Order: sequence, then structure tokens, then C-alpha cells
Amino acid sequence: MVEPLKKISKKDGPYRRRAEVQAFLEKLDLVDARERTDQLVDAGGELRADAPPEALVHLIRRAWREDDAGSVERLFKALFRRVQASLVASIPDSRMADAETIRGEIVSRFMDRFARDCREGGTWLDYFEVQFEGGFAAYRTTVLRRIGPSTNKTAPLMGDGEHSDATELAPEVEKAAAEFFADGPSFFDDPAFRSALGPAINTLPPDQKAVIGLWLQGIPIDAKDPTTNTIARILKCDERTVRNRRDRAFKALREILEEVKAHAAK
Amino acid sequence: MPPNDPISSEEVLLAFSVEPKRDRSTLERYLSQYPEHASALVDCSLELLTLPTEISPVWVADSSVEAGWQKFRAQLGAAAEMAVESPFAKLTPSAFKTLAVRLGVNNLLLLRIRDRGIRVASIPGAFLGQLATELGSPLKAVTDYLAGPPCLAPSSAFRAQGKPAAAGQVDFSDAVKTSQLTVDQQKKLLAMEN
Repeated sequence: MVEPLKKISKKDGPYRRRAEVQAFLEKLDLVDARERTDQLVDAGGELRADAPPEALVHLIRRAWREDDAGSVERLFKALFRRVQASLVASIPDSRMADAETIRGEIVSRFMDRFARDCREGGTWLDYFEVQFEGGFAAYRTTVLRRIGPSTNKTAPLMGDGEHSDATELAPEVEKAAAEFFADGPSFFDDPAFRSALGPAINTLPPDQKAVIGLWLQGIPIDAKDPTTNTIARILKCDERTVRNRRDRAFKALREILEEVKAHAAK
Repeated sequence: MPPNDPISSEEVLLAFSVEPKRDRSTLERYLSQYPEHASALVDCSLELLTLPTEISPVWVADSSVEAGWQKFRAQLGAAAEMAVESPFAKLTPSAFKTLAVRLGVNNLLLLRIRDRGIRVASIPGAFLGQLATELGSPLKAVTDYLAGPPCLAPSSAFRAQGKPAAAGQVDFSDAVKTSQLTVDQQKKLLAMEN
């Protein structure tokens, strides 16, 4: 039997693995430990392409509990490679001046948590069995907030003196950019668009990135109802500043959008 | 974690990042529940928004993987050692003081023993036997625990700027001489070594 997760969500009760991960683990549960490991890890020590990393986390925990040192080592090494791949994809050297240091810090935090889970037999790693990449997004956030922002490699979007929130874009630029985003946040669901725009968003200055990110999640810029969450309220700045940041971000991202839209239209 | 303890930013972000629905309503719910972590939540929502859609294998040097494994193994080893339950763990502060009196030592020396600041091989067998009896634990359990690495007292508070570190271990006789014991106490304890 695949042991259920024990961590309790405030809203939904016990956390549950995604259906495909649960099904994958139940299939592996039918074979012995050696076969389980073989089905997860290839001869080169990599996690197999069709194997979810959440299953890898689960099986390391299980091997540790069952005192299966051989499996722990082999699975851990595959996990280590997988974590490095995930971090290189999300924090490439092109994003940060000291990306390697940041990746190292994230790995270190994750390993500390893993060891704590083994020591206490607790629920420390349950999140990583629910959503592996999501868990690392949380770690990235924590580490980047502490040591990342000062080293962000931002794109040189405009000439000197034009970054100021008070400096408005020319009306025609603003209009053209807004028209380009007329499809609204729903266009962000397009995988081709998303895969191209994600890295581009990461090159924006932090203030513009925050505005465009919230806008893409459907948060309005401003609202008359004082109980509505708006970008201006969340970021504690006025509406005009938000619009300026959004428009600057639009302008910077427009080139990428054009390329992706043109490609999608073919 | 006690129910009234504020939840850490890391735990809030982890819970947020594994939510099945990543949308405006989820973000707003977390912003409302954890206003003290609003800025971190916004940043995290952006990280989630820009998650790579595909993870390609990257070349990782075998030496790097091996180093990562050795480091993790050391952490697991430490975890296994820490899993040996402390026979002192259930003592209340007053029971701890009473134990010190019954052993003919002061609190300071008993703390150094509890925190494994004394090499177990240098502690006289008679003293270990008496300690095990007073603790109501098997002698082996006590010696296994004391054979672990020196540790920080879990109840200690540290205000230093640097990360606290466990001190090294000393021999029993040195600990007896440097623990502010009375001359009479020192004589009795050192006599146990013969």
C-alpha cells in the first residue's frame, strides 16, 4: 500500500498526491524494491523521462524507513541530478549574476529539509510529493528575496532616465502595447506563449515584473470597491505608477509576443 | 509547532506553491490569511507563473553528485545519531536539579554530561552506573547516548550574531576541575577514576 500523506491542509484536509503520481506509485508498489528503483532511474543514473519527481521523493523516504541503504543512495543521486536540472531551468546563468550560488543555497535548504524529514519521520517533504516544482518555486522565492534581487540581470529596456515611474510612455507606445495584450491573461494559458514569455518576464526589473505578474493572474489595477484586492493596493503604490510599470513591461515583452504569435499563426 | 506560533514564511510559501489551483482566488485567499507574508506571496506567485514548462536533463559531474551524496549521507548519519533518545529528555528542571544532588555534582557538570561535552570513555564506570540507575535507563542506553557528538542544549537561547556551534569534548577529570564544584565534590568524583 502506498502510504498516504500526513500533512494537513487548512482548507482541504490531508494533502493528496496528484492522480498521476498516485497511480504511478501504486504501480510501483506491486514490484520489489530493486525493480521499483529500476523503473524510476535509468542506467545513467537519471530519473526516467516518464517518471514524476514526486515519486522519487516518495521512494527515497520509503527506502530510508525500510533501511534500504542501496536504494537510498541510487535514488538520492537521481534526485540530486533532477534538482540540478530543475534549478538550471528556472535560474539559468543568464538570469542572475551568481546563479550558481543561488542554486547551491536552494539545494542546501532542500537537503536540510530532507534530513529533518528522515530524522523526525514527519511531514516535512509532503509538499514535494504533492508538487515537486512548486516546492522549489517556494524555495527560489525565499532565497531570491534574501540574496537574489541585487544580482538580477535585468534587460536594458530603455535609455537612461526613462525608467522612472513618473516618466510616462508616449501615448502611441502605450496604445500599441495594450492592443497587443488585448487577449488578456487567458492568452497566457497557451503553452508556446508561456514557455517563451516566462523567461522574458524574469528579465524585467522587479517592480515591472510584480505588476505584470499580478495583472496576468487577473488582479485588477485599481477598483472603487475598497475591499477588492488590486495591484495598486497589494504593491502599495498609486494607480498611475502601476499603469506606467505595466506599460513599460508591455513594451519590453512585445517583441517576444510578436514572435510567438507569428509562430503560432503558422 | 504549537497552534499559536506564527507560521514561517517558508511554510506559507510551500503551502501556497502546491495549491492545486493557481489563480487569482488562491492568491487572494493567502494574501488575506497571511498579510504579513504578502510581499513574499506575490513574489512566489510570479515564480509559479514563470515555472519552466519543460525540464531538460543537464550535465552534472559525477564528482558533484558524489559530493552531494556524501554531504547528505553525513546529514542522515547525524540524523540517525540524534534519533538515539536522550535519557535526560523527560526530566523537568526540578528533576534535573534533584538528579545533580543525588549524583553529588552541580548543575553545570550535569549539563556538560547531558550535552555530551565529556568524552564518554573518560567517565568512570561507577559514575555511569549511578547515572543510569538514577535516570531509570539501561546503562547501554545511557552510554549510547553519551557516545554521540556534542550538541547544543535544545533549551538554550542564543543571542550571538554568529551561528551557535557545539563546543568540543573534554575528559571527565578536566570537566570536574572546571565546573565550579566544591573541593569535596571534586575529590569524590576524581576518586571514582581509580
